[in-house]
Amino acid sequence: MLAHSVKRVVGAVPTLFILITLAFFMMRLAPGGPFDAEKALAPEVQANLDRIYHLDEPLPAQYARYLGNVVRGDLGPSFQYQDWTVNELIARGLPVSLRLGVTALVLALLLGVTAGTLAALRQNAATDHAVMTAAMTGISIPNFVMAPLLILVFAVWLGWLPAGGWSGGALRNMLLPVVVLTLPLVAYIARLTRGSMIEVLRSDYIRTARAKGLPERTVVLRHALRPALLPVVSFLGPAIAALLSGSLVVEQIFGLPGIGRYFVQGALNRDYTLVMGVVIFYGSLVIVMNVIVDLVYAWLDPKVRY
Amino acid sequence: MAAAAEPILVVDDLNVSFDTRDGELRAVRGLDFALYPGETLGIIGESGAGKSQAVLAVLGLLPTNGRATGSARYRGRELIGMPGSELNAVRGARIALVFQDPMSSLNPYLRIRTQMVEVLAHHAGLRGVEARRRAVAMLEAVRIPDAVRVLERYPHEFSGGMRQRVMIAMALLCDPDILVADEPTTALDVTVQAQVLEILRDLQRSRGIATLLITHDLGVVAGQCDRVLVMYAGRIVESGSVDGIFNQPQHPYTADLLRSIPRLDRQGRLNAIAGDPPDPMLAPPGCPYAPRCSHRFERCDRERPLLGARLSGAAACHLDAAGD
Repeated sequence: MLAHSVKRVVGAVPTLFILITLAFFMMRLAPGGPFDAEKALAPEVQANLDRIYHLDEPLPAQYARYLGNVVRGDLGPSFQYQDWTVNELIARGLPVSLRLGVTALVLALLLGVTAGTLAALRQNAATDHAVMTAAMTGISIPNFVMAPLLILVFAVWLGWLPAGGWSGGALRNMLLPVVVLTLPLVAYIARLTRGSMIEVLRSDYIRTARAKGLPERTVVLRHALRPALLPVVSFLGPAIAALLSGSLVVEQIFGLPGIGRYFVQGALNRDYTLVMGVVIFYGSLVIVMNVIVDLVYAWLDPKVRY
Repeated sequence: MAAAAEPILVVDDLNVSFDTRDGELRAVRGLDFALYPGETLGIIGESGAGKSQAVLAVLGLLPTNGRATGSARYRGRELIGMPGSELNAVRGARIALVFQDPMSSLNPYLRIRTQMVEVLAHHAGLRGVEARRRAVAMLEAVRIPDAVRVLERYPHEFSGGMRQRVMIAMALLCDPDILVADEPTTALDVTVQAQVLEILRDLQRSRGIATLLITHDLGVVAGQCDRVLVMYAGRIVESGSVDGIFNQPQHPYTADLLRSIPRLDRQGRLNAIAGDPPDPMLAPPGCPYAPRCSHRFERCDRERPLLGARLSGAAACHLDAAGD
C-alpha cells in the first residue's frame, strides 16, 4: 500500500512538469508585464528591474532557471509583494484557505451523505423530493452569483453577518464563504449518495442482512453505508479541485487573505512567480489528495488492495 | 412423516402482488400450506411461479413495491403485517434464510466474522470470545476447514460453494426452527451442489430443523424432501409425498415436468413443455395451465380447478384420476 502510494506520487511528476511548463508559458503569453503602470517607468529603471528578476534573459533560459529553483523548492520572489517570496505568501495564505476548505469539505460530506441517505430511505416521499429539489438548486447556482446574493441578503439587508473580511477566522466571518463553498458540494454529494444508496439497498446482501433480523439502523449504517459511500469517495478528488477553484472566487469576493486571493491578485498584476507558485502548489495538493482518496477507497472496499 | 404433530408454520390464502408501471402484478394467488416440525417440504415450479416471492412475503422481505395479504402463522403468531421490530426477533433467529446466489448474498464489504457475530449479538446477546467460538463451531459444522482463519476473511476470497456454506452456517447460528432455502444450489457447480445438499440434509436431520426447500430442480426435491408442493402461476397445482409425486403425478403439469428431466439413458430430443406460463398481470377464468396442457378440454377454459384430494396428495385439475 505504501509502495503503491509512493509510485502514484512519483508517477505524478510528469503531470506536474507539464503543469509548470503550461503555466510558465501561458503567463508569459498574457499581454503586459509585472512592472507595467499608468506612468511608464524610466527605461533605465525598467532595465534594472528586468535584470534583477532575470527578465532580460531569453525565455528558455528563464524557464530553465525557474525549473531549477522549483526542484529545490524555491518558488522565487513575488514581483508585486516586494520583500516577500512566493513560499512566504503561500505559507501566509495557507491557514486561511485550509481552514475554509477543510470546514467546507467536512460539512459537505456530513450534510450531503446524511441528506442523500435520508432521501434514499424515503424514496419518492416528500423528504426525498425536498432534498433533491434543494440539491438541484444548489448545483445550478454558480458561486459567483450565490456569494453576492448572500451578501446582499444577510449583510446588506438583514445586517446579521459581515459582508467580508476574515477577522482571524471568526465564525461570523466564515459563515457566508463556507456556505457558498459547501452548498454545491452538499448538493452533488447528496445526489450521489441517494443514487448509490438506492442501488445498494436493492442488493442481495442487504436482503440477507434484513433476513438476519437486524434492525434497520444496523442494516443501513453497517451494511449499506460503506458501499454507498464508494462513489462519494471517488468524487472527493474532483470535489477538492472544485473547492480550490471555488476558493479563488470566494476569497476574492469576501476579501479573505487566502491563497486564492493571492492567485487572483497575482494574475491581474502579472505577478509571474506568484501565479505559477500557486498553480504548482494547488496542482501538487490535488495530486496528493487523489492518492489519499485512493487509499480511503481501498480501505472501504476490501476487493481493492494494492 | 410428522403429520400428527402441530404444524410449525401455517400459510393460509397468501397473496403477493407488486405495483408495477403496467399495473398490478399478482405473483402468488391464494397459497395454502403447512410445515411440520422436522420435515423437509419442497416447493417446486419454474421461474416466476411465485415460490420465492411467497417465502419473502412470509418474512416481510418483499421489495417496497410488493404487498402481501392473507395469513402466515409461525407457532400461532401472525407474521403478515407484524411490525418490523417484532419480525426482527423471528427472522434470522427462529426462521432463517439461505438465498440462491452466494456470490451476492454475503456483504462483500464486511469480514465473515462481522457478518456472523452480528447475528449472535443481535439475537442471543453474545459478543466477543463466546460469539467467535460459536461462529467457529458453526463453520466447522458446515465442514469449512481452517474456520478460525476464515472468520477474518472477506467473502470475495472464497468460492461459491464455500460462501454458500458460510451462508448456511450463518443461518443456523441461532438454532432456528425453520430453515428456508431458496434455490440454495442453483448457482453452484454440479459437484459442489451435491456437497452443499448433503451438508444441508445432515444438519437438518441432526438438528431437527423444519426446512422449506425452494427449487426448480426435481432431482434436488427427490433427494431432499419429504413432501412437495408444485406451484404454477402463483398457485399450488399439486401437493403430495415425494414418492407420490414422482411415481403417480396427479396434475398434467407435474407429469410434464417429470418428462422434461434430461435422462442420460434416453435418446432423442428433450421434452420441453411447449408455450410459456401465463402473464402474471392477467387472470383468465380457466385453468392457468390449460393453454399448455395436452389433456385440455372445454371445462378447463371456463372454470379454474380447485385443489382437491386424490389417491395420494391433492391436485388442482378437472381430470378425475391421474394425469393420464
